[in-house]
Amino acid sequence: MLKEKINARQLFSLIVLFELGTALVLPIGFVSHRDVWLSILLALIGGILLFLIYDQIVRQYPESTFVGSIRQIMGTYAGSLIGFLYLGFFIHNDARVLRETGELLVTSAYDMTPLFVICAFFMLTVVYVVSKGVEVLARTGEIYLLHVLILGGGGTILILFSGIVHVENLLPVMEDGAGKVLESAYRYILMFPFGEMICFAAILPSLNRTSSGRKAGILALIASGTILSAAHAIEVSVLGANIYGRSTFPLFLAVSKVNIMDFIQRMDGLVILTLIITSFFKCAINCYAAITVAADLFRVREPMKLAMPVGLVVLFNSMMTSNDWPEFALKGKEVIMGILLPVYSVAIPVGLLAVHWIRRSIGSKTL
Amino acid sequence: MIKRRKLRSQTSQQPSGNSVSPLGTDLKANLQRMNRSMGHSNDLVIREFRIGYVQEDAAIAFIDNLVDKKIIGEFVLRSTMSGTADSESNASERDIDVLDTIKNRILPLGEAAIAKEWNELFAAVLNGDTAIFVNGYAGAIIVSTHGGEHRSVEEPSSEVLIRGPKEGFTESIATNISLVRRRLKTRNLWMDGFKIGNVTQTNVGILYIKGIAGDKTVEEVKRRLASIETDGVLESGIVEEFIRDHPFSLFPTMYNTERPDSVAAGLLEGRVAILIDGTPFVLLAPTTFFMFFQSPEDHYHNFQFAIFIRTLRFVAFLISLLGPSIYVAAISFHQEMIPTSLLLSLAAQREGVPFPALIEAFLMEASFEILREAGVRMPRAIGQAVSIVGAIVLGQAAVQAGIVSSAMVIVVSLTGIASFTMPAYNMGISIRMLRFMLMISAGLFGFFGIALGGLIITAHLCSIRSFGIPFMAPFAPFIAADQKDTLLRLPRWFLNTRPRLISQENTTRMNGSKPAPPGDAAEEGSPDEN
Repeated sequence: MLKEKINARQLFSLIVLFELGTALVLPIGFVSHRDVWLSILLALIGGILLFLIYDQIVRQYPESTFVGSIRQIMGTYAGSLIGFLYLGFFIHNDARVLRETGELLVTSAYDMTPLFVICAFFMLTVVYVVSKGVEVLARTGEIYLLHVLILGGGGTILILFSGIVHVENLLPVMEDGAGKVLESAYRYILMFPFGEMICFAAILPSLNRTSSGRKAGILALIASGTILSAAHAIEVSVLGANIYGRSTFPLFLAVSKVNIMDFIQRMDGLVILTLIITSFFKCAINCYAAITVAADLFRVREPMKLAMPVGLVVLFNSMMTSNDWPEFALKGKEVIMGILLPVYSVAIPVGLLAVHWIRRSIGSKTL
Repeated sequence: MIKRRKLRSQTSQQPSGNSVSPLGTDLKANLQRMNRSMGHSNDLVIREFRIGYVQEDAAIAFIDNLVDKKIIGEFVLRSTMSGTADSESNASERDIDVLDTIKNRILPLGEAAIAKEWNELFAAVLNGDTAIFVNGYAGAIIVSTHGGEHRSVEEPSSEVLIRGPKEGFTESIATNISLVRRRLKTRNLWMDGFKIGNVTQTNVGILYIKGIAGDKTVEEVKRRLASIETDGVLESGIVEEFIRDHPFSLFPTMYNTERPDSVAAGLLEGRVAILIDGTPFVLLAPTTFFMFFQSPEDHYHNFQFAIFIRTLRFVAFLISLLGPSIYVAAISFHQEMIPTSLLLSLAAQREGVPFPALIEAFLMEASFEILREAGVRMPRAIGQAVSIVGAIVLGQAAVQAGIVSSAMVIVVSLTGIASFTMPAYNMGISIRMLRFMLMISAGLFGFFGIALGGLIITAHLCSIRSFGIPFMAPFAPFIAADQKDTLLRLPRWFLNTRPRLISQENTTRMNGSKPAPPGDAAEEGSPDEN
């Protein structure tokens, strides 16, 4: 069933692009404004643990897919039920990524273009790329990781050279105590962006060597966590904690302050480009996860035929999920990060692994 | 519809239609049949004579202008006519094997064979060979007498180098093979021949170095060539279209070149060369995307310059692909990115222009493409006139008339010039076409459109393969060892491996020898030849 294979380096690229996704641009960790960089680093540890759990689940049944593993752990019926839950979750999560990107594009540069048109064309591209299979997606990721690193490096140099970084904005560290930093790390950042890694459980079975996934994943998480932390630290130091906390898209605001010799100024375009590329991969990976889960559940021979239908569902879901940005953001904070992500990316995987271990220990005792 | 089917059945019957049968023994009948089946064509020359050796009636047949008449006169006619019945040879030998004896003992020519069948005979004669019929024997001796007019070896016109060999391929496959063989003097340079085209019967040869080229690739090339069903092959482009992967892709998945040194370099990397009679363009497969950015000259100049030029070429590629679309996007969506003073001057220029930037760009690009096409097709003598008209009308007059802004003229001409830096013309074609699509998406969605377009193009490039090799090879999948000669070009002694995916079996070029100081004998690492 899984003929297409990706290698560890490609997995690395995909994870980094995925993690940078929208998290680079959106404010994350709502409560620790100034210390958000610290919270990200703290959450990174939890993120790695979560990834190890996903990897462990996939590793138990190297021959089967994500849903296949769940079925083997929970039995066919309960497993399929959980699979259905995940299908819905992946689709909804994908829709949210799409909506976020669309909203950001509309507010930043395309105020005359309807949101639906932007989202539709974005999703069309996603569907095209995903329908070519995970191998192509991973190879494209490899190439675009280079692009993003160059863009990011260039952007950082511009920000540093234009002299708008005020490190004192980051001080004092932990003004409100360690509690807020921890709360922001484990209540919010661990869920978004690290908890969303659950969709990699659907991609890990495509690795050419299942064992290589763990190292690549951990490295990728460390890399992306560091980049995220640095980026948000720069954002705070440019904008100050107050503006950072209140703005919708802080990175945007920070980069637009770049001005070198009145010639290089307002490099928002670079941010838009980075945002489009990274959230494209986030969207595509979520979409791919949804497609493989759906193909498993409905026993579709050629999973990639589902790209179009799943893409359409995602598109309309993204339009219907909320009426406007405040509602969307509130839902994201309360419902997604409060309920959905903890359940889907922590509770169920931990439960699955626990059930697996219990069953195995019972099985080995009876033997 | 019916007509077409009829035509097809006719063409497919043509080669075998009238000549499946073996040759007869009667000389007159044979000659008559030959004449008849070629429609008494004037250029079929049949000369009857008597063979001195056996005192039998005989005849030779050949196509005028395809043969070297000197060879026929000197070595075919003279040697067969002269001599008398040999007293030493006994009668029985004479009776049984006259054709063989003539072939083995009389004809002082390198290539000779005996054809027993009309099919074989016609194929040979039409190829420039001469057939010798002897009365009373069912068969004909085929001697190789290729000749006729050929273009001599000249400097290739489509790939010009400052430094490098000035030889280019010609229309004759024999010359082309000799040009390659002269560069690769190894017994491992193997060749396979095909005849493609029911009517044209074109000679197609594949060349590869055994032990370096992947066996699977060679087999695949052979399989695809053998499966071509068509009436005629006139240029390598036709073969390419039949055997290439992803025929609907805009990107060329096979490389063509006029230069023997390019082909030799390709063979050394483990590629397979496909030579087609009648065209100087030789195909190389498998091909990767970055091959189209490389010129053989990169290896003839020093490596610093090669790196500089390759980087420049890549930048030029990006300009020629994205130039107008970035301008359109910046002007219509992202004005804030343009420095204020520049923006003011651009705005002043665009004040009188009635069109949106997209239309403006389209107008200019389209006229540039028209000019370029005209430049290729028109007779040489008019060239000057057209370029003057193009420069003045499209440049100055259009700006003065307020149809386009002068910034647009700069962008379009820069794009045009950048596209000429591409060493491979066929990659330039795909870029020209993609440029228009990207312009549309930039006009609709600005940078967002360009980014989506770029993603689609990249994903497409990542999805295609050329004879089993991923097209974006050293970048996706990323292969560190092959980066040495892709966008960079490291010094010779670092280039000790062949492209990893292309020659999977034998990837070592040399044993990492460094240039020795003067006086010391350089320890040449020779390419492994088994």
